[in-house]
Amino acid sequence: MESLTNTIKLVPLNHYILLCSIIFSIGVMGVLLRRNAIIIFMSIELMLNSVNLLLTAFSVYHGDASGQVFVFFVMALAAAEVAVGLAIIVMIYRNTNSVDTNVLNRLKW
Amino acid sequence: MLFLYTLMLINLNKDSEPVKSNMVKIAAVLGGGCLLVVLVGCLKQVGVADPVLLKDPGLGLVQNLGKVLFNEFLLPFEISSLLLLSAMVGAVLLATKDPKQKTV
Repeated sequence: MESLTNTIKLVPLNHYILLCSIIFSIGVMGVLLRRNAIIIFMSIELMLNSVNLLLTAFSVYHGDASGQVFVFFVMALAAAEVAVGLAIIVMIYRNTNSVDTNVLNRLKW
Repeated sequence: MLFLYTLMLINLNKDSEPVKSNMVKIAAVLGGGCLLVVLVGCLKQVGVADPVLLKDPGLGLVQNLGKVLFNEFLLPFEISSLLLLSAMVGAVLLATKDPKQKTV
């Protein structure tokens, strides 16, 4: 346990940024690849959470609590977004019997 | 919370999982990969930073975070409460069935 905490203290800031950019890219790929609306929502959540991770890392790096407070706001925003988005998905499912986003291309006209 | 709903909903329509064409898949992987490559390439330019050390042990405590949240960020806090309330009302409005449609 002692060695673990000592190892964690040696992790440079670059590795946090690298991890967050990998998670963010996975989220972007999920949005582009999948057609299921719920999975697209999960990917958006993944992107938001990677930014949260980065904000906390920078907050600790600078010794400033504002970053961690900002994470709370991002979480609240994500919750609001998920609530409205899930309601919209439920309505789409009720009308078209699928959560395929391809059905929505009729919104173009 | 979202993931619970997701598991619930995905198991319902597992068979109707839509399939995208290979072109779109390749383009999406290319786009996402390009983003990752650009980000990593940018990071390569930066020198190795200092280790992330918690200099002030009281930084992440609830007490100190609450002090910051309710002093400096009081107005954004109240605005986000309004946002959550409006999101709740909107979700209920959208998700409930229209009573006129039920009679038809």
